Amino acid sequence: MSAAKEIRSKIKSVQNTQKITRAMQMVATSKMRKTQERMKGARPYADNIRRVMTHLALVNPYARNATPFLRESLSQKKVGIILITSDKGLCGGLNANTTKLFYETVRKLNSEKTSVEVCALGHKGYNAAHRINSDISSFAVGLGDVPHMEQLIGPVSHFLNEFREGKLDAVYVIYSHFVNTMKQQPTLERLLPLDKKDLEHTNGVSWDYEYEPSALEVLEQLIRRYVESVIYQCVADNMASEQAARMIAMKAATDNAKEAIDGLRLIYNKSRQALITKELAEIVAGSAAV
Amino acid sequence: MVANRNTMKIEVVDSEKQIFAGDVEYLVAPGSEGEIGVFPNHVPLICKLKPGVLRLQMPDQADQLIFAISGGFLEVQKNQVIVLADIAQRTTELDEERLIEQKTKALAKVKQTPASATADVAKAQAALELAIAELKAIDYIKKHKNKA
Repeated sequence: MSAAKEIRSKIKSVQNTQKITRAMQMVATSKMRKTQERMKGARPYADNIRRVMTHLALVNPYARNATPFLRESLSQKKVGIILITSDKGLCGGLNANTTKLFYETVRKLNSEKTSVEVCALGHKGYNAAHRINSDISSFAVGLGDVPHMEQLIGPVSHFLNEFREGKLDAVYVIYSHFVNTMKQQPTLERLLPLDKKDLEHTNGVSWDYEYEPSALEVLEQLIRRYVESVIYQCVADNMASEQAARMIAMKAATDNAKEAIDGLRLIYNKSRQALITKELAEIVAGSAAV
Repeated sequence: MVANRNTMKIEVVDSEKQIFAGDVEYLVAPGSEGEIGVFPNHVPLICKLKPGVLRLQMPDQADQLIFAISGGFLEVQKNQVIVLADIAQRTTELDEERLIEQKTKALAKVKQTPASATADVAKAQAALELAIAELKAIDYIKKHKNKA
């Protein structure tokens, strides 16, 4: 009898787990919709400022020398990596994939004798960077479900200043890009200096802008806005990925719990039937003996 | 559609959404050094914007589209204009009384916030700038209508 009771309590416990995972799945589904909208809403601004920056990178060398933000260094001695992850777990392989890309990048950079400084946005990334004893110069954890610019700007502007002063030769950002609900792509992007890859389609015309008030002032602020916007977009992207990944992970967990319950119930019923059969056999045997 | 020579393409975006995209005859923007008017075939320009009124003249229409923006950037390429506003608001969505109240509140907040809390100060200032820009936009519309 004790075996049956054990199985029953096991079923109960799996059912409770299932309730939790199902609730988490539903919460993630509704949050995903909101985070996705936020991500899409920020896109026009990010796309347009990126276009402006692309044009800027094309302008003649005079303007490029106006601000240290547009300089290119030939060798990379020290680079900054902004690692964007979620704060919480239970979202499948999302953070594992992102941190894997981070580790690979760090290993590659170290083999090229480039030292790395890390800015961690999100608790999981902070832990991951801590694990390999990275130089974490700034971090922000507990970002919640809505990206708040004022929370992100502090840690990131630290990198901006270092880049401006020439202490960093490049700034990269690693985050999980939301492709669709089923697929999230860990992505590495170069934030500074501006990526030349996007420039090919503009067929290399060289010209300069008129600036108002002055080239230096406009460029400095514009580049700051650009970096802010890209970081915001990346964090929003990462949050959409997080919710999608969590939804899928929790759906899988709920399905698995159902399977486990079915299996346990089968065993339970079998053992119950075996017990009844045994009792019957005993009664029959007993009455036959009398 | 054949592109009209006397219009240019413009995109107005703020950090949360696209506000406007289409063809305009000319535009007037609140540049940091004074109002800037841009016609088609303008020389390439990047300009800082201060809080104020952005006006777009639509082709074949008497009325102008008016937005309140709380600062940002204006980029002019050959017949392709991008307005990167920090926050932009269509004036049709504005209500003067509410705005004056908001401005007073924002002003009080700017004064109250200790200067050490940089993030809070910036936030309060941004709110104030937006309120001022929106009020300017309403003022402009009023004057404009009285003239007409």
